[in-house]
Amino acid sequence: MMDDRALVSNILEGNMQAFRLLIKQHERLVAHMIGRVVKNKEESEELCQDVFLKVYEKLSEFSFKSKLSTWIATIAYRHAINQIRKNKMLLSDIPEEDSFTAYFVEEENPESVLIESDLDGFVLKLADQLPPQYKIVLTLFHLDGMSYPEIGEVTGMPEGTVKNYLFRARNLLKEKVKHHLGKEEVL
Amino acid sequence: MNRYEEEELQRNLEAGKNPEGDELDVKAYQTVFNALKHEPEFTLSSSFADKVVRLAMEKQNSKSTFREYFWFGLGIFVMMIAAGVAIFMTEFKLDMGFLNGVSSFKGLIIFGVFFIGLLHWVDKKLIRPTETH
Repeated sequence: MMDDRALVSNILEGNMQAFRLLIKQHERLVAHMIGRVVKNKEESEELCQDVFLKVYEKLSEFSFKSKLSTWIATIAYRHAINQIRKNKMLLSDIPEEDSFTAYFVEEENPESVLIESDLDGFVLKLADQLPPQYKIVLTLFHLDGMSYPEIGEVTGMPEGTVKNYLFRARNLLKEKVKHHLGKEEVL
Repeated sequence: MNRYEEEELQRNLEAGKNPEGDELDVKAYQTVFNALKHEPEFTLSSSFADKVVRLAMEKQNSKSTFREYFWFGLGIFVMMIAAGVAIFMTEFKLDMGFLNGVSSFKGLIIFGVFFIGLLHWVDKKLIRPTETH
């Protein structure tokens, strides 16, 4: 397998096979990030295309101060956030108050009731209701195996914020699942 | 559970250790951690990489075509400026009087034009085809 330096230098010399290889190596990461916040399949694929075209355009500026995957994820994150702004989706934070936790845990919609038989699907549907930046942090940590500092670098958030986002998001999801499991036990 | 206990539980699960605490809390957290590892439904098409490579090449080509037109246009512009400056500095005035001077060599001029044409024809018909074989 070609290392990042060799791959980048091959692409900069005009080797399009090397660029194809770069896309193959990182398309999963980009698709995870974009797919979590943009639900329309065509829109998501187009956005992923834009991310890789930007990577190609800016590759000569990549200075190897971070991992290539972290740099690509940073570009994907910016594209995702811009798309969220374009779609006028809310980039709000999760309110600190206990009342919000109570609301999130107690609230039931027909869709969630429908899928409660599949717990994993249930959790993922709940995660979809979180603000986009929380979803991205969860995806980068749990799906792409990034560390706190790497997530901080991608999102531009301080490490403490990353930890807090992860804690609060998982805590909210846990409370909802616990609520559901508790109901099951009663039945 | 207080925040410290919650954090401890999450840290243990992150580290893959056996978490201790309320059974229902542990079970709920394990469910959440397992679910979050699931791949999302959205996947890219198998031809995605080829499509992006093609688009990148098209973009690069259109960029270099634009660059060529830009330099061509700039060259013409600079040439016109240079001509203007030269005309201004030499106080050149267009005078067709030189045609009177060469009118007595009509035959020579016609021969010259014919000879250059002949050379081109010989080059095209006889010399170039033999070079390609």
